[in-house]
Amino acid sequence: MLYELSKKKAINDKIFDFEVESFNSTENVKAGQFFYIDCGGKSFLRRPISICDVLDGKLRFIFEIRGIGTYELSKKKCGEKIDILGPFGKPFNTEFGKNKISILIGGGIGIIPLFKLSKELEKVVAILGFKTKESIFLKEEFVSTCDKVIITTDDGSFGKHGNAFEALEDTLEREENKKNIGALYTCGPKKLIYGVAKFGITNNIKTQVSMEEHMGCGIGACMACVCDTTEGKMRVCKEGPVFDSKKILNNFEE
Amino acid sequence: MTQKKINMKVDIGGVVWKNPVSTASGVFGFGEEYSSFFDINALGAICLKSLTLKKQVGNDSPRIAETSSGILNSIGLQNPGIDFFIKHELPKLKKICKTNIIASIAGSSIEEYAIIAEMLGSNVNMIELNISCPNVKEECITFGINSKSVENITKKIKKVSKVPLIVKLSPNVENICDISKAAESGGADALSLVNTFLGMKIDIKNQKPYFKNTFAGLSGPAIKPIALRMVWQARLATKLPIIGLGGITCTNDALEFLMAGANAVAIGTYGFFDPLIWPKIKDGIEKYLIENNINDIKNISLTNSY
Repeated sequence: MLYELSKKKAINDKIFDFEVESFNSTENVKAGQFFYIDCGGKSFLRRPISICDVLDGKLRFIFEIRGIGTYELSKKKCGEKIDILGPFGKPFNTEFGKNKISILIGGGIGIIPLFKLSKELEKVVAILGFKTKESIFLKEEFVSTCDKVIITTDDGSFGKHGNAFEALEDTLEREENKKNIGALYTCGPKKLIYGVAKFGITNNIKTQVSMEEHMGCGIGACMACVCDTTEGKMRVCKEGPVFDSKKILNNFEE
Repeated sequence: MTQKKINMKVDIGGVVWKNPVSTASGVFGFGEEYSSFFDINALGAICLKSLTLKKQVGNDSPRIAETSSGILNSIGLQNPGIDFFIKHELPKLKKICKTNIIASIAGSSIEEYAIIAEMLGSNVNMIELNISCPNVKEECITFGINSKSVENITKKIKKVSKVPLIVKLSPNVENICDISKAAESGGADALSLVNTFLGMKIDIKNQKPYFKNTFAGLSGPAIKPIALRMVWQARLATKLPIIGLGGITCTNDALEFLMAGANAVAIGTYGFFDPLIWPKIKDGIEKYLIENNINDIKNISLTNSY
């Protein structure tokens, strides 16, 4: 399916914000799912890019240049058509957060799928971790969709000094009634998501994590993008990208 | 003007395919995923992911890497095992699939291959012997690398198989002609070639091989000219029907394989990019025949006259 790139913004020299026109219904697109994008140029495989937001029938993607594919994608110009398949994969389960507080814990570009999620949930606390003040993005938008936003930076140049996981521990300590917390949702570096997953289990809070692996077909046929789970190696593109934390227990010692 | 009737049918080892287009093993799962993109019955055959006797967990990640015009994969034959396949996957597939089903099988001993073939019986239309998977530590690949062992395993599985047998050849051999002849004298009903080329990638950041198994299988457009040359050579070495594959991305690529003497083609890796590539190529071949006034697919081989 060809979609027209209608808006493009460089957040910094590595991170780009794209809006594409969608001809399909966008109602069924859920937070945590990804689209499988032909980045063009020298790239051969498509790249999975998670959905950041859906607005008036348009899809919004924010991505970071990681390699040749995302580099080629960043070179696309407004008005250009992009070949996009999807949405694919299992979304976050928003039922867990119903009538309760949901805590979103994101690190770096891991905050991107959490933005759409923040719009699908009711009471939301977002803990967003960045390296430095300069690398912060989407902050104002999270402020508009969440009840509370906590920003952390590794170097302490903005918000809390430290990482998102430490801020999560801190927040939970202050929360008097832990029963008010419906679920934790996390996406970001492996160290962060395993930390949050373990924390959720220890504190008996339902926790969902978004996993990442290099993909082949993107639809569950080729078995390339598996991650270790308690039920064996499961496909990130099909059984994931979102998994219950209890399923990825195997990976804790990594 | 009435359109002239074109014959797209081919006979692959005694099984009639309505057209010469199939899926390659490994990329197509057990058929379910792609059936939401197109009618899989439009194809001459579908070839499924390799089955082993016991469930295989497969290799640790990473399992895939992009290369210039291709991919390296190190999946390691992850599959639920033959028993689960027969009980759960095959009945599901049979509900939606009316075209030929090729079961690809792999094992670590000839006995394992034989048990799988016997268990499949005539529940599938053809069996493809995968004796060339580079991604498992066991003996799978070693069956495919010398003529004697190819002939031996082919003979033994042919004896127990209730359906025509395709032998899938490895390109990682000294002489593809000898291997083709060995499969023929072992009693193969057809050949498919080529499987992936052995390759590797090094992770320079961490200064170690990228894949846990060190080596991985290279596929995609990068291998097409070599695969094509091997099909041509195999064609001249044997009379067996050949399913040609290796880096096909479009109708023109498929036509090259057919002209090199392949009786049918399979497309694998490119399906990752374009999930509709199989019906597109089938339609494209038909269009080529009509436009070039060729009334039978069988007449486009160039190797007939060599």
